[in-house]
Amino acid sequence: MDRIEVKANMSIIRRLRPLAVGCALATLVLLAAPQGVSAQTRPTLTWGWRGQSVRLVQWKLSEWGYLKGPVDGIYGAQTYRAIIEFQRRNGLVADGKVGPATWRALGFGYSVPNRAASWAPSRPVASWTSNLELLARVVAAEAQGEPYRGQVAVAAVLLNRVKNPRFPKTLSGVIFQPRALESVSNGLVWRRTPTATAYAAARDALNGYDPTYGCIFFWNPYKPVSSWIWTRRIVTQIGRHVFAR
Amino acid sequence: MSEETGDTRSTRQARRPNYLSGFLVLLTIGSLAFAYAQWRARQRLEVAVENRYTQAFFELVSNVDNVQVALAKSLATGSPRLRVGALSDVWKQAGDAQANLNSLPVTQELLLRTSAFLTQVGDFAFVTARKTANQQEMTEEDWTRLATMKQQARELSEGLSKMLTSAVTGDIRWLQVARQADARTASGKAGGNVVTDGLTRVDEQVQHFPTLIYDGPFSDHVEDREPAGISGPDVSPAEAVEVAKRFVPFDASGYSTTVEDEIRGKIPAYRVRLEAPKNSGRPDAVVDVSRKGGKVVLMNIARDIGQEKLDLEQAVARAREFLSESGFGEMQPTFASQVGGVATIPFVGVQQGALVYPDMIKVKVALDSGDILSFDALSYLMSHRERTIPKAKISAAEARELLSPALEVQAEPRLAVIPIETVDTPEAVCWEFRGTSFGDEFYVYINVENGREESILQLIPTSEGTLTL
Repeated sequence: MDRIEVKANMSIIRRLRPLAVGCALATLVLLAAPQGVSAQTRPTLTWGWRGQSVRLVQWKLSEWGYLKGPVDGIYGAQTYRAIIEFQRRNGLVADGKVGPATWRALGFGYSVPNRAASWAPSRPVASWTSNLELLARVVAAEAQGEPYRGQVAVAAVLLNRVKNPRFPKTLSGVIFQPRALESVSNGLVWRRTPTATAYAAARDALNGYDPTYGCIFFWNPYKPVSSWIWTRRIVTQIGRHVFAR
Repeated sequence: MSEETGDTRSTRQARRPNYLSGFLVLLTIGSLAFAYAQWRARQRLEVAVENRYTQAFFELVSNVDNVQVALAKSLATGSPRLRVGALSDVWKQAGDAQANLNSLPVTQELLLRTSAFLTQVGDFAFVTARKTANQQEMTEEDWTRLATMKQQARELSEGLSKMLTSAVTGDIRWLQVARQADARTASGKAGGNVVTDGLTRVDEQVQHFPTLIYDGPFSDHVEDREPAGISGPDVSPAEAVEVAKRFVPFDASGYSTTVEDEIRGKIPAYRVRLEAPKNSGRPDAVVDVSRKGGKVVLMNIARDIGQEKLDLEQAVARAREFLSESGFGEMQPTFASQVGGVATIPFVGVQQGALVYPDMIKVKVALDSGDILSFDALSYLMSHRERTIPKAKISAAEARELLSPALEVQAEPRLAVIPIETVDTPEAVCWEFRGTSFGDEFYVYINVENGREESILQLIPTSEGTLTL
């Protein structure tokens, strides 16, 4: 349920949407005729109608912003105005009656055939793999010889930066930010092959394990670092690294 | 003969130094040519890198300018349709500006505040655009915030344009800036140049912006949230050790214990190390116990993994058993993944029959023996509390009608509490539908209060078991 993953995922969905729409249209043309569309018959709603059907229409209309009033299941003045407005904008006869055409325009009473077997699932797993690969490389270059927890911690710091407004919003942005990581500046990150432990640590961090409790900085206190960094609030030390917020 | 020999010799003598000097001349020419080629290559690379940095800087300047213009437009327009467009532009330009700013070769501390400002402007524009698209009115506070942000973006833009003058005349040498930054880190001394001075000024300016800056859904307030799931008096380090010994899934008698560190993070905690007696062949463990309330936040047991004997289902059963032994009420596993002989299983809380996703605990189980390897309750302790799950205003059958016509529902809907990205209500109670659409599997969440589709997640099969993203 990680928010960032969800966001990345949404963007994938967004990117795939034109394709999906194209495919949907193609399928409709191919399959709509034999399959038939509306299996369910719905009542024609008019002024004064009450019940679940009215509520359905009201939710749709209020999500789209046509209906200003409450969803009460009663076809009253506000619902009437909303339906007229909806019909007018969608090229329907603006008579205030919710008949088959209006039901359909509202998105009810039909389904787009999409039997799972006929569609190869899209596999947008490249980003997961590339993130794992990049993180494992950084862990190997920055935290070789550290305790396991310390290796996870280094990976977690980078992932915390992605979520932090002060840093780039992508993992590659964070890793390749100039002057952010020594091993990236001197190229060590490309020379050292990550061990199985580095991969495990990166995977744990991607799964949300954060032994630094939300830190966004780490450094080796026995090496020269910018004096500024010591002004950060130190949270913990693991192995030879200090972690701070 | 002798004359001939003498001739030949003298010729040879005359030639031999020629060979040598010829060789030397060739060597010199060769190395000069090599050096020249290297110098040219280096020159080309430097120009390429320099150009990349210059491009980033120029784009940053134009992004910030566009942010300011788009903010101004969003304030000036009376049409919600145009406002959504302008605000989306703010969102995009602020995001690009942040990315360009962070690719400049200067030390990070110069950029932190400016970077945060740009993120917050983008977040606020995004949330306001969505609000407008949902036909919600902007509050008076929203207007003031937009106006203030526009003003601040203008100041930022002015600060940058001072540096721009040096940049257009070619006075900024980014590689030199990068080298100076290196030297400064090594010597710990502060030295200035056009760029660092300029950016320092800009960053300090941002610091003086009034605190009206919007704290968006992805911003600091999430980080600074108090843990909701922890109560009770503070415990002493000795008590923390006792908690840790009781919690570990093995008999810890004979273990030596040390409180290694006091962690000053989101949840202040003691880090307790349990060390196995020498040559006992038993694993060491590290357990973080919260100072307040003495709750176990993280536990990690280090050992090698042998031959796999359990399957995922058995691992899930073992993890569930451990959680109930440790006093957690009803918890439900959401999915499981398996790699390197270890199963990772996130559990979510259950309240009044609803899955509570923010209350998450992750458990790792070794597939050789079924031993628990790690436990992570950080999210659980941050968000757990007794919630009142309101009676659904929309029935499951009604919610189902509101789904996309291109989604084929595969399982019975369940009630779920999910985190959402709004400021005032961080959680929403929803009907959770699992379904497929054109071969892909999805979880879709419909709010039980207003029928709104709050979130959609795609299930992505990987080689590491099934993963919910």
